[in-house]
Amino acid sequence: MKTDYTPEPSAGVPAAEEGQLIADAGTARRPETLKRRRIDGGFVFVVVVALCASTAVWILKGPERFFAVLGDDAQMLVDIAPKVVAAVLLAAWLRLLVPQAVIARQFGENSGLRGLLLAIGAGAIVPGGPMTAFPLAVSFGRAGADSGTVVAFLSSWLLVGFNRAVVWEMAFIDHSIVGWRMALCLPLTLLLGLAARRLGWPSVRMGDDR
Amino acid sequence: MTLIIFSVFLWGATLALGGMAARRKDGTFGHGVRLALREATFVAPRLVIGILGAGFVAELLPAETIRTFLGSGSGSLGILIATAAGGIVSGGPVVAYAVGGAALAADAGVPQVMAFVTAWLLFSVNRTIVWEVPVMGGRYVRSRMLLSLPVPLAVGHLALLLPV
Repeated sequence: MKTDYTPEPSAGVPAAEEGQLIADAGTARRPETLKRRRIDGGFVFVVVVALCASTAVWILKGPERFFAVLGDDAQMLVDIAPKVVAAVLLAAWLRLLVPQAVIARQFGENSGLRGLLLAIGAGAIVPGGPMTAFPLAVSFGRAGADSGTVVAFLSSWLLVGFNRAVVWEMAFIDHSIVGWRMALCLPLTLLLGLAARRLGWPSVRMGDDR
Repeated sequence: MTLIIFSVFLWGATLALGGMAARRKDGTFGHGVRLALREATFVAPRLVIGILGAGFVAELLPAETIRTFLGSGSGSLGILIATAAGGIVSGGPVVAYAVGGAALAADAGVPQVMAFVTAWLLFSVNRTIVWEVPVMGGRYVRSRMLLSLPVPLAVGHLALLLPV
């Protein structure tokens, strides 16, 4: 599997501070390199698939179907464009206005059900991809949060993360389906957090762990 | 209706934060706009190509086969197949959601697609290997995954009860 690893020196890379705003932007990369390339393996793959599929539609189904599909897709793009604009602005301002250190401190101080619910709320709104979310989860553990809080935060970030849902999921899947999926997943994040707490895992990484 | 509520919420939150950033008068507003622009130049080409590609791929999918194995009548077996597919699909959100959208367009059932998306979110191979294991540690990731295993199946089966 290709993971697009670029061994560039991280010194002098201003992107490291700002990282990635939108969750899971398709270019998963190793934590040492916080810079994304605009064109990477994943993007090339999607371009190739799109070119092959459009050519195949033209040949197998004729130009009429080709243009019908193209029209539907164009309509979809027009529909989602304003949402994406709002979502990237929301993520950027949220990131600048709420420093991550402030969020992490909250979790050392809040345990119990309150801590779990806060973690779920934070996971749902925290802007940022894996290069932000996982280090943030580690900092929760270091600040004193238990494993239940960490699992609840990560599960919430994955399953009900608002930004990823708006920018990526709603672009391809009807918004009511996305909304229902998130509504079904929300209580499950609490169950996952409670279960992890009950199992009593350590919330910080042990030295011998690989 | 949900779309209106959602749009009001999204734009309300965006405008509120923009207002807070502007009131600081320390360049936070402009800095945020620049960050957002940079992010948009990354996101936009992926969305455009992804949506166009998904539309054409959906046109080519064998609807009859999709309906049999993943259609709304496929029930628990379809949810199980979709969960397995979501767990092994490689790539980022463009690929995963495009597959989900194309499957929907080719008559896959809503519960099956929800199970697929949920499984991809929880078990994405790329993200796990590249990010989660190095940062969180293998033992933690294995535990989280084992715990999360029933979640896509639960979501799919709960979705069977939905009116969508």
